[in-house]
Amino acid sequence: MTGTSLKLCTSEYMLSNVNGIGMARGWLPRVLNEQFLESTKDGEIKLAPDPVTMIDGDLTWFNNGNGDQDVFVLVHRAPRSIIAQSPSTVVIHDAWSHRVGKTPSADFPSAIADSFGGRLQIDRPEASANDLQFCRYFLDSDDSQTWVPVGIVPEGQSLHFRYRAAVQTPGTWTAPGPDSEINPRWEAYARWARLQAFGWPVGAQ
Amino acid sequence: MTFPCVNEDHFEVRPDGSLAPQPWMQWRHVRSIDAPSKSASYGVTGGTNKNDLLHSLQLSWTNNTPISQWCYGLITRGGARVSLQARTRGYLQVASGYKLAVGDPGPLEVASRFGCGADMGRGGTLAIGTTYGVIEERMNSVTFPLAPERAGWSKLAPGATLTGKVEVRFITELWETSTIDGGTSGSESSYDSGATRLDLFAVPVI
Repeated sequence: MTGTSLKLCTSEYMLSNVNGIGMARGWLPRVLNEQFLESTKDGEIKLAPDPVTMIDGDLTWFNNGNGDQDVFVLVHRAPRSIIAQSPSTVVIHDAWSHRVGKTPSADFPSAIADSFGGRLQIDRPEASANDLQFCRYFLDSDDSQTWVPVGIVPEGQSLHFRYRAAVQTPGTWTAPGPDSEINPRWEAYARWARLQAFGWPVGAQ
Repeated sequence: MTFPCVNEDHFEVRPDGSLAPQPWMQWRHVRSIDAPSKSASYGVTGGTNKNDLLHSLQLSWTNNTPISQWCYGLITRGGARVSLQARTRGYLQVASGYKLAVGDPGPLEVASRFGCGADMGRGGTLAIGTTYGVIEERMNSVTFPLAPERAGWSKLAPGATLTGKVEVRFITELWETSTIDGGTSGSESSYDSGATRLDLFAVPVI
């Protein structure tokens, strides 16, 4: 300590050192950690009654001496695309889970309520494979962002955030038969997802 | 006790003599309200156009700090699905608004819309019905501003209140009521609305 700087007692969000008194890093809004995850399964797909993983990854952050932090994760997904041959449906499910604790391990993200995709079905489920009419559904979405509130990550604890995108063909699936003269296309493109954890000090409500 | 060198609107001197920033001198997540997803499935023949209110969320925050605060809102919609039989056209629509006062913010503006529809052409011997067809579209969750048509954040003096409101409706432009060629089997008109959340945030003004 120099003779011109007086050491003051400060809260966890401030510091006092030879440079004087100032704000600690934990007081500043900032990106805590980020991950860029790429799809490993873009392109042609087949019958998938159970979701098949396209993107799988996680994000972790350890709160080491920042004071308690209020954390949001910004999930930013790429433009998504599907091609579905009538009468089938192609969807890409997005799911995430998170846990905060000393050594947190988030559950497997298996939800199927946050999805992109669809169908344009012009034959009923009971139509035979050789009688199908030709109809192909092309659907593209813009990229999109969702703020996920994680809540407080106390000092000394960690965040574990898991993300998964998975392709599924729910419902009716009839592959065109040889006499239908249909060359079917089923495709799915999840491309990428970017996870960014943002942190702020815990403030007044 | 007062501390002449410390702006106590900005800093707090704690009883033990330590110095801390006041908890309102920072970006904060101040309020949150949400509603769970709703689903509906309609009969394949008959019925009328829909304009059904699914979610209505209203949320206020009063600036309870000694300095002015910027306040803004974010709407987060959950994953949604709309499935409609041939000719029917419909969508899930989000409308929002806010007012710098306590109570209902008044008329809302359309902020977001998602839906589909496909006209497959006429069917049946007399060509007065429609042919069989179902279009389905699903959309991911998404976050966007409360009242996106109003630029900028609102400045709340100490004691002032902002009230935000979000409504989600299922609306159809055309509801197919005629006979489906070949019968009603395998046809459907339904939706999953997705959850809706409104969050309010505050940032100090100096």
